[in-house]
Amino acid sequence: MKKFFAILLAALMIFSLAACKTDDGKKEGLTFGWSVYDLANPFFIPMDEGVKAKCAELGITLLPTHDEKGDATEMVTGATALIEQGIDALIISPKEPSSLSSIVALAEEKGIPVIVVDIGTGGCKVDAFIQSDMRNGGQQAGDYFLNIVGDYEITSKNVAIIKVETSATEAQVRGEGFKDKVVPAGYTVVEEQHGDSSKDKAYGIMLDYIAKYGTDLAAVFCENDEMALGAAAAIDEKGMTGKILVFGYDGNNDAVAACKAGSMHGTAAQDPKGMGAYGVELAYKLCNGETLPATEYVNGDGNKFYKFAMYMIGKDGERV
Amino acid sequence: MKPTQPIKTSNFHFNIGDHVIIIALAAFWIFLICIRPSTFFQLSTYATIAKEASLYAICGIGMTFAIISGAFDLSVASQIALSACVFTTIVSKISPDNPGLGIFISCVVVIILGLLMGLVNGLLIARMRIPAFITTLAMQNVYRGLAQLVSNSPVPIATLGKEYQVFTSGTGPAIRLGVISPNFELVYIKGLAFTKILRLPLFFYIMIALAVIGTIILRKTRLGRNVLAVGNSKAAARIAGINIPQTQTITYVLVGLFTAVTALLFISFQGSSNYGVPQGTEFTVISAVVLGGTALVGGKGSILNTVIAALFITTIPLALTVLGIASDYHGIINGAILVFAFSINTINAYINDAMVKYRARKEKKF
Amino acid sequence: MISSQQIKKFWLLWDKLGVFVIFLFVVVLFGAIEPTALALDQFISVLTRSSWVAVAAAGMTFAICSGGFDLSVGSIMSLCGSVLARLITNNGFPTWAAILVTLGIAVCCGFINGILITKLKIQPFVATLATMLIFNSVTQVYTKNIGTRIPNELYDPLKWLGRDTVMGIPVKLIVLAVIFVLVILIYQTTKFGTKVRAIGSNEAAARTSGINADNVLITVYIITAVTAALGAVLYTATLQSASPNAGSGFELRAITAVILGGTALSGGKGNLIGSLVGAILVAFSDMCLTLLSAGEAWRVIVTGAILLFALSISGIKIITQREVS
Repeated sequence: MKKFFAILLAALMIFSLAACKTDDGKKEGLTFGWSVYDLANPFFIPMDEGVKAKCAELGITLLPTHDEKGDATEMVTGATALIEQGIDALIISPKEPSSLSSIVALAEEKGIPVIVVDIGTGGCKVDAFIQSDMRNGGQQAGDYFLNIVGDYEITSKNVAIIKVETSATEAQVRGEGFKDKVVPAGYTVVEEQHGDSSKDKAYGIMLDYIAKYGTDLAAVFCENDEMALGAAAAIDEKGMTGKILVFGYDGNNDAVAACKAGSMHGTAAQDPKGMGAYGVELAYKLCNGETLPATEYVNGDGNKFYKFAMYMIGKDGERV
Repeated sequence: MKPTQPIKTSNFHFNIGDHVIIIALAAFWIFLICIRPSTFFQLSTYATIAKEASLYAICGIGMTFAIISGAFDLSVASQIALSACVFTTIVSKISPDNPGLGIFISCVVVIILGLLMGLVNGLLIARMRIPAFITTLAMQNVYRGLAQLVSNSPVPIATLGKEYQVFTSGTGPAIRLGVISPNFELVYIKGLAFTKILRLPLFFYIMIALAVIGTIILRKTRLGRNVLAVGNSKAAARIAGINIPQTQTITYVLVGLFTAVTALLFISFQGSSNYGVPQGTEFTVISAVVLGGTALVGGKGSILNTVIAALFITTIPLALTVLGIASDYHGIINGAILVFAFSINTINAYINDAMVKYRARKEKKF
Repeated sequence: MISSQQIKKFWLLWDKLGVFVIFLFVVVLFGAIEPTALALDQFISVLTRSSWVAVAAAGMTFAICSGGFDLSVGSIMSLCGSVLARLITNNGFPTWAAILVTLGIAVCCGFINGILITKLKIQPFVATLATMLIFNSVTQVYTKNIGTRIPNELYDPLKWLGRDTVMGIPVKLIVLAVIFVLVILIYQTTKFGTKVRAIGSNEAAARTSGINADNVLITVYIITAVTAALGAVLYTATLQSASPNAGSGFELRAITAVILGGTALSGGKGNLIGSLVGAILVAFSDMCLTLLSAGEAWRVIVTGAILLFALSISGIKIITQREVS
C-alpha cells in the first residue's frame, strides 16, 4: 500500500513540474508535418516522395510521415499530434475530409497554415487545396476510349462503370467525367456498381457483368486502378481480353504494366509526386509571408483550388 | 506468530496486485519522460493522450461489464457509426435552423438508440441464447448497414453552420477564464472537443466521472454484484436465485448506454459522420479491458483498470512515433506487448518451476 | 404430439443440414426474381469466386471445433500472398518453389499460434489477435507497403491454377474439391480428427484420458494457417497480384462461413460441408444482387437479413433444445 502511494506521489510531482513548463524552444529553420491517407495505396507513395524531396530541397525539416492507414480516427489523432509537436505548417492528404474541422481549428489556434492535397476539404476553410482535375480525368478516359474503340471489332453500345466506395465523395465525379464523353457519342451506361476500391470485389462484379451482358459490353471504366486490375483479371479469365476494354484511374505502376501486357487499355494518370511537392511549396511561401499564386478556381468549400492537369496513359503503357 | 487482528469492517479494498496496470503505466510514462523529455515532459502531450484514450475508456466501461459477465460485444464500433449517422441526419435535416434544439434532440435520440441497440443485443444473447460472439458479429454488420442506409455519405458538421460547431471544435477565438499566465488558464472554452479545465481536456473529466459512476454500479449495486456472480459461475448464480437472463440483458443495455455516450464524444471529436468509421475500434476497447486485468472468462474486473489500460494503449503509438519507429513496425510491437502481458503468469510459473528444480538439484537432499 | 426424441433428432439433423435449407431458400427466392441466376455457369462462378474463403473456412472449422478460433488468418493470407507474388516476380523463383516456401511460412505462422496458445497458455482470442497485428506488420515491412503484380511472362503456371479449365471445370474448383475431400477425410476417419473433437468438447477430460492436447492443438493451428495460405495461392493466382492488405476482413468472413455452416462455437462438432455452403451463401446473394443491378442499400439489407435469419434459426433451436432437455 505504501509503495503504491509513493509511486503515485512521485508521478503527481512530475506532472506538476510538467504543468509549469512552457513550450520548448523551436528548432532553427522551418519544420513541417505531413499526414497521408494510406501508404499501402500505391498512389500515395510518389506523393510522399514528392513531399520529402521538396522539403529536402528547401531545407525544411520534415517530421516522420504520419500514415493514416486509411483510418479516419487515426487521421485526427495523428494530425493533431503533429500540430502539438510544434510544426510550422501542416500538409495533409486526408482519408476523411469531413473530419478535418478539429485539425483545422487546432491549426488556426496555433497560427499555422494547412494545405490539403487531394481527396477533399470537408467543409473547412484551409489555406489551399490541390487536386487533380478528377472529372477531366474521367473525360480524358472517355475521349481515349472513343478514339481507340474503332480498332477493336466491338459493336456493342453499352458501357459499365465500377465505382469507388460512396464515402469517397470527391472521387464520384470520375465516372461522371467518363459519362460526359461517351453518352453524347451514343453509348449507354448500363451498370454502375460500387467496387469499394477492392480488387477482389471488382473481380466478382466484373464476372457478373460478363454473365449478364456477355459480349454486349464495349468497355468498363473503373474509378481506380486497383479495381481495374480486378476487372481485367475477370475479363482475362473469361477469355474476353480485347472484347471488353478496361480503363482505370490513378496511373499506378501495376496498371501501366497491365496496359503494356494488353489486359488494360488505358488509365487516367495523376501526378501525385508533383502535387505533394507543390503542397510543400505553397506552405513554404505562406510561412515566409508571401502570398499564394493566383488561381481562378475555388472548390466547393470556398478554398483556393489548384487544379493539377491529368494525362492519359494509353494501351501501350505510354503517355498519350 | 502475529497477535490476532481485529476484523476489518471497511468496504474499501485496494490490493495493488489487482491493479498492476497502474504500475505498468507509471513505469512506461516515467521511462518516456527520461528518454524524450521534450515531448513527454509536457502537459499538453498527456492532454492529447487523455482526450483520445477517453473515447476508448468510456466505451470500455460498458465493455468491462460485459466481459465480467463472461461475454463481450463486437458490435460497439458499428453502434458508434450508426449513432453518428443518425445524429448528423437529425441535426441537418430536422432542425437546421435551430442548433440548440437540434443538438439536444440528437443527443437524446442517440442515447435512446444506444439503449435500444443494447437491448436488442441483450435479448438475442440472453433470451434466445445465441452465443455472444455470433450475435455481436452479426449485429456489427447489421448496425453498420443501417448506418449506411441512414446516411450514404459523410456529413461534416462544420457545413451546417457556425452554431453547430459549439458541439465540436468551436468557432471564433477561445474563451479563457482565470488566466494565470500567458500559457496557463484555469478554464479554456472552445467547443466541446477543445474545452479544457486546468489544461486537461473536458473529455478527460467526463471519463473520470463516468468511471466513478461505473465503479459505483459495479461494486455498490445489486446489479453489479449480480454481474460479477454470473461471470463467476452461472450455476452458482442460478442457485443463489439471480435472474440470469435479466442480468445479461441489462449488461448489454449498459454497454449500449456507454457506447452511446462514446458516440456523442466521437462526433464531437471527429466533427462528422461516415458510415464506415470507426472500424476495428472494438478490438482496441476489448484489448483495453483485458489488458487491465479483467479476465475474458469473467467473474472479476475493475473499471479503474480499464481506464488506465486505455491510457496505456493510447500512449503506445505516440511513443513509437516519437522514438522514430516507422509505423510499419507498430503492429509487431503491439502484438508483442499483448503476448507479453498475457503470458506473464505462465512465464512466471515456468521460472518458478525452473528455480525450484535448480535449488533441489543444488541441495541434493534426497 | 411430437415426442422429445423426435425433436432432438430434428435438431441433430438441422445441425448438419440447416445451412443447406437456408441456401436453398435463398436460391429459390432469387431464382424466382431473376431466373438467370440459376444457371449452372453462375453456380460455378460463385463457387470459384468463394474458393479462397471456402478453403480457409475448412481449416477454420478445425480451429473452432477444437474450442478456439484463429483471428490471424487474414494477415497470414496477406503475408503468404505477398511472399508468393514477390518470390516469383522479384526473386525469380519457379512457381512450385515459391508455393512451397509460402506454405512453409504458413506452417511457421500456425506453429507460432499453437505455441502461444498451448505453451504460453494465452487464450486463442488474445493470442491470434496479437499474431494478427504482428503478421500484418511483418507483411508491411516485407513489402514496404507496395503491392506486386506478376508480369505475364512469369504468370503461366499460376494462370493454369487460377484461370484455366480442365474438361470444362475450372482448376480452382478441382483444387477446392480436393482440399475439402482431404480435410473431411482427416476429420472423419483419422484418430487426429477424433482427438480434435474430444478436446473441443471437454479439454480437461481429453487431457486426463491421455491425449496430448498440446500437440494436437498446435497441429490444428498449423492446418488453419496452411489452408489460409492455400486460399492466398488461389487468390493470387486468380488476380495475378498481391497487395499487403489483401486479406483484411478475411478472418471474419471465414469465421462467419463456419458458424453459418453449423459448427458450434463451443467446439466438439464440426460441419465441414456446412462451412463450404456458408462460404458460398453470402457470395451467392452478392452475385444475385449485381445481376439485379441492385443498389448499395439493398446489398446491405440482404446480407444483414441472411445473417439474422441464420442466427434466429440457431436461436430457436437452442430454445427448443432447452425445453426438451
